[in-house]
Amino acid sequence: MSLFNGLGLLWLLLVPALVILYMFRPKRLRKPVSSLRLWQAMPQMERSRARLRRPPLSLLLILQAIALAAGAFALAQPALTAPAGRHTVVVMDASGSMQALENGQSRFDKAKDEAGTLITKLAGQDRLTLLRAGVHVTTACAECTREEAQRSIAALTPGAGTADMAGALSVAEGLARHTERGIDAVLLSDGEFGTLPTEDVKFSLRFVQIGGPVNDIAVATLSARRPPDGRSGYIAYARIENRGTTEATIEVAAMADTVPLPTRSQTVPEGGHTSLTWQVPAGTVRFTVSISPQDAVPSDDRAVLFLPSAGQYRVDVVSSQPDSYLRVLGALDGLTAVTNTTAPGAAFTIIEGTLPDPLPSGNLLLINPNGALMKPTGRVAEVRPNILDAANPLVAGIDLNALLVSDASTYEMPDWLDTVVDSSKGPLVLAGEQNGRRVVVLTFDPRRSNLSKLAAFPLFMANAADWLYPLAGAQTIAPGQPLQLAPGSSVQTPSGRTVTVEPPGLFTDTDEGGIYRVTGTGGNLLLQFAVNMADAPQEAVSVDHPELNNPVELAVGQVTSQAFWLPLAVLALALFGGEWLIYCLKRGSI
Amino acid sequence: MRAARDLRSVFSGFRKRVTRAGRPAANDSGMVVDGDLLQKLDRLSLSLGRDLIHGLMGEHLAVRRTSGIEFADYRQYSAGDDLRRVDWNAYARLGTLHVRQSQAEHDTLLYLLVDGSPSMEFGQPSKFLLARRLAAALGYIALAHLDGVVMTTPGAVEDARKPSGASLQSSSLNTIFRGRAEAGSLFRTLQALKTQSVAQFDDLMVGWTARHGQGRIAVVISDLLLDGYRDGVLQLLSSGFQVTVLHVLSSEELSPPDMGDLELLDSETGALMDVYLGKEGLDEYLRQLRAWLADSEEWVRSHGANYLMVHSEWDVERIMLDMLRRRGVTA
Repeated sequence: MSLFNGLGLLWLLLVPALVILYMFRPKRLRKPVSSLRLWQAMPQMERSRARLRRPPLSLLLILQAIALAAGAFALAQPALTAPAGRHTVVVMDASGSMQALENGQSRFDKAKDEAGTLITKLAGQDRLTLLRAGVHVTTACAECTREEAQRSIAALTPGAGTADMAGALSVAEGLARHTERGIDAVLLSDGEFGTLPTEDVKFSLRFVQIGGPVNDIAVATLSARRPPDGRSGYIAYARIENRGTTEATIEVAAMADTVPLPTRSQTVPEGGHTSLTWQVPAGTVRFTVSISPQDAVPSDDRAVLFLPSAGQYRVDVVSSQPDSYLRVLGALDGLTAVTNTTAPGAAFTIIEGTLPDPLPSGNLLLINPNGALMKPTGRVAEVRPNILDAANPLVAGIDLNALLVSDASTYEMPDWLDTVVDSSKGPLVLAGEQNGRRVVVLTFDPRRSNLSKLAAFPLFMANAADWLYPLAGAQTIAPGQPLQLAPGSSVQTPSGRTVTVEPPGLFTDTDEGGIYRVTGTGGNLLLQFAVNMADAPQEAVSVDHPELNNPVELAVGQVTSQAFWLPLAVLALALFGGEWLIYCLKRGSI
Repeated sequence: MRAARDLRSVFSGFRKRVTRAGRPAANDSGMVVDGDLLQKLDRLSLSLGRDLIHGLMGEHLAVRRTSGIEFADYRQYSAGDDLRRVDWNAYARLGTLHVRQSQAEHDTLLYLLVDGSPSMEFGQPSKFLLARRLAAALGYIALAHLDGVVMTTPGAVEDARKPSGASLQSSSLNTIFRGRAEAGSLFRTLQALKTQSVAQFDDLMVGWTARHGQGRIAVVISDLLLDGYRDGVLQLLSSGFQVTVLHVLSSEELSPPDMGDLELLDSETGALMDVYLGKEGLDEYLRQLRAWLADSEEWVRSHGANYLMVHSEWDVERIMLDMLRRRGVTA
């Protein structure tokens, strides 16, 4: 037993004080009687005249002393010590590959069974934290009891994207740091992720491999572009990958809205792929590709595109000379450029020069900015790019070697911005996300460079438009990718959930694969978009990760405390009540 | 007849204050008489041994007949009355039977002693109130049957705030009431009394035998907390009185409520006494009380007197119609 407030025991001094009070001889109550005759024969007790006496061992004194002692102990906040319960952290892999079916059961359901087994082994004091590792790591239940954990497990569903297992491991590590005794972490996954850093893992870690080898043929890519020759409609491109261990012959079906296009039979070698294109008729809104027969991962056997209509999305341009931007954006299907407005609802906004305060909602392309978000620190001249992040989608397929910037600004670099195009004198192109908002920064005025004269300019703007508003090209996004939508609109997810978009309009709940419907406040359909597993490259393999097994003996002897001051306080009150009752009964008041 | 009407008017002023059960009414105002009770008392008479009757009384049969009678009043005939005393002339006029009542030359007297010492003020209602109620009831029975009543209230004084029609010289002196017409005076006198001081009974009772010299009926109503009554009772008994002792005690004397350290104050002497009344002390008190009561009763009975202990809370009607009747005091 321990005391949270040891000073509370000072109240025990009231007990001897009470005894001292009882030691004072009480003044006798004078009672008139008819005659002393009846009392004369009573044996006369010699009573001391001393003011003090030996404390009488009366029931009232005993009750009062016990009540005071109980009250003092309650104020000291005693607590019972008991062996500490284990804290188990279960990481559930919720990636798309966990949807793979084996013997009629998905890997995710197998993982749930494993987690259920772990939960049944929890003792009364044990607690369990359940982490769902999808594109983002979410906590399904924190330090919950067995019953709460079982409810949380039952409610879990897999996503369509990859699993952020590194993030989940970081969360577990944070939990271990804040727990005296440490944690016992268990990763339930098919192992479809790279090698994780384990040097900081100081807690007990166990990897439970879920699933085995399966044959999976997937629609790995589905995209659409306007035909380069200016014809109407779209050209759709699909890449079919055979991720199994045997050659497979499949039927590939495509539908333009509800009109089926000719089915194609394809033979895909093991580990190989095949590419297909379709001429999508003009006016098609939805284009669907599916393969048969169904394999172990049915969710990646189908992909959907929503094709934007011309000028469907508005881009606001805030510039004194917007002509070059309007010309480039006008060539991009689905976008309509509007100048000098920052009204809500724009796909993204291009701002040149001084930044308004506040900034418009949504994603931003900032040209040579000057404002609270980006404060210039100086200027540099005659700058040429020398470092290029070729993997960045903003500069994919672009040759900027001929770029010459005559005048550029230098900035205090916010930590949320990454350099895409660098130079010896400072960054030229930056990109990053701040609170879910995507921002691209050009540190120079294109007119103070030769960029607008280069062929790379319209390509860069197209890439920027794709990155800033993915639905502008083809209305499909990768699982977990955030999306800027009109605040107040409602999104119906593929599983039927309805999510209202809160200001400032960032929608992040895109982990499910399937079709999302966005409706306005009046219930009118604003847009539809698809989340395909094809946009989150992953294979339905099952990989063991022996490096993730780190048995650590949990510390013993740690204790937890359970305060029980309340029963003591109740006892003290009950004793005082009983003492009062006895007093009243003796006085004849009751 | 006029005298009877006067009595009715006096009685009508008194409300029924005493319950018929053993407990007092919550709003007991301390009235000594109850009109309903008086009507019931009309059926009772004092029970006298035949050797006690020496003169001609209206209703008591005497061994020795008397020749001289004086008409006093009429009353309605009731079963058992001597038919020789029915007034047939009145029957011829009124159609109802009336009995002639006469006043003996040598009155039969009821001697009442009501203890007025301060100790009688205890109890709820007080012992003194019950004593006065019993005295009123017994006195009414005597007066209603043409017996005389001699009353003395040692220790009591008249309460000046209350009107009294009685010619009391002193509360402790003998006061004589005769005839039904003086019942109202008896009641008013009793109503006006209050306790004041301690007085010895012996001299008063000896005085009864000296002044009247003839043995009759004597009723002593007291809590007997002073031993001074025994000589007087012995003197009365030896003088041929039929003596009844009504021992009045209150519930707080029979079962003291207060426990703990007490400083007892004697209401009569002012003496103080320290006691610790715990459970053992209370048991000892009750044991002493029972012994004292048994001793008092035994002493009274062993000398040929009647003894009855009554609680101050008891109903007068119950005492008069039941307890005293069973002990042969009334008939």
